[in-house]
Amino acid sequence: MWLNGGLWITLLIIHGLSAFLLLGALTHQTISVWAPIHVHVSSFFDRTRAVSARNYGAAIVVLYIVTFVLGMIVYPDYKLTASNVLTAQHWTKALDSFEFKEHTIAIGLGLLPAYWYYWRLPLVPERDFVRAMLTSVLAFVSWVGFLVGHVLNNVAGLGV
Amino acid sequence: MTMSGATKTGTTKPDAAQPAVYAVFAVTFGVVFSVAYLFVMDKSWQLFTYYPAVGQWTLFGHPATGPSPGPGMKWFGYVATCAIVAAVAGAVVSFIPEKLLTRVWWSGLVWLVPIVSMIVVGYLIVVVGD
Repeated sequence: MWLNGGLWITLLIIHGLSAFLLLGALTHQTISVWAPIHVHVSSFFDRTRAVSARNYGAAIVVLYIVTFVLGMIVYPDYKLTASNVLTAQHWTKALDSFEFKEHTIAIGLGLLPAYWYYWRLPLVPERDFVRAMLTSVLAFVSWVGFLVGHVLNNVAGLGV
Repeated sequence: MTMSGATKTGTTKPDAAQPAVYAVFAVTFGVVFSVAYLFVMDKSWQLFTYYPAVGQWTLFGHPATGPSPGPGMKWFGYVATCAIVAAVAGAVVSFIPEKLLTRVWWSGLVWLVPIVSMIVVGYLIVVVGD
């Protein structure tokens, strides 16, 4: 099962696409909570700020879980293929960066119940700062995961 | 303390008790998960290990059977261990009376502790070599 390279590449691409959607939603939401805007906008950045962040919460939880599960599915192939390539070539920093990715992503998973609670409607103003910080932490985790995974795929790839 | 289900207008929702209990559970879960992860990762306290080359699952850190099982994956076990520990802790803490909990409660822990945990994870990986 693990030798079907095409299958793993396909799953990795889907994992990447899911991560891409997650990143988009989280980035918009993070900008929106730290720099909200409630007037008519015309510039690109103002339109980025003006998204209705309150409507992204459930979608982000679902996307995070989907991306996480897909990552779990492709991880064994990484262990048997790309990881061996990196180890053989002594790419220690690349290996360490993936370790950092997997651990921070797991910590982000633990934050989902709290994240869901703080984004439940109606939003309570007293919880604004905690909500913003939780969103920022998840955004950081997702960006790290995306960038590390993307770079490592460029370096070694899956299904090899 | 912002654990109640009060709305923006100040009225209390009919199910205010439910959101408060869930809030305590969710925050405790997040905090305990982040802290537990450091110990589980550092001490290899995974619930199970997976050997993808041979498709074997073993309890805790037990080795796989066979001459060449290949590398073992502990990460799945790390997540499972932390999820269970955090869920139990969250459930226990959510039963503590709110009057007692108020003395130690700070919802900011839910974002501060994971940030500190991630810094420690980085240290463990780069400096300690975990």
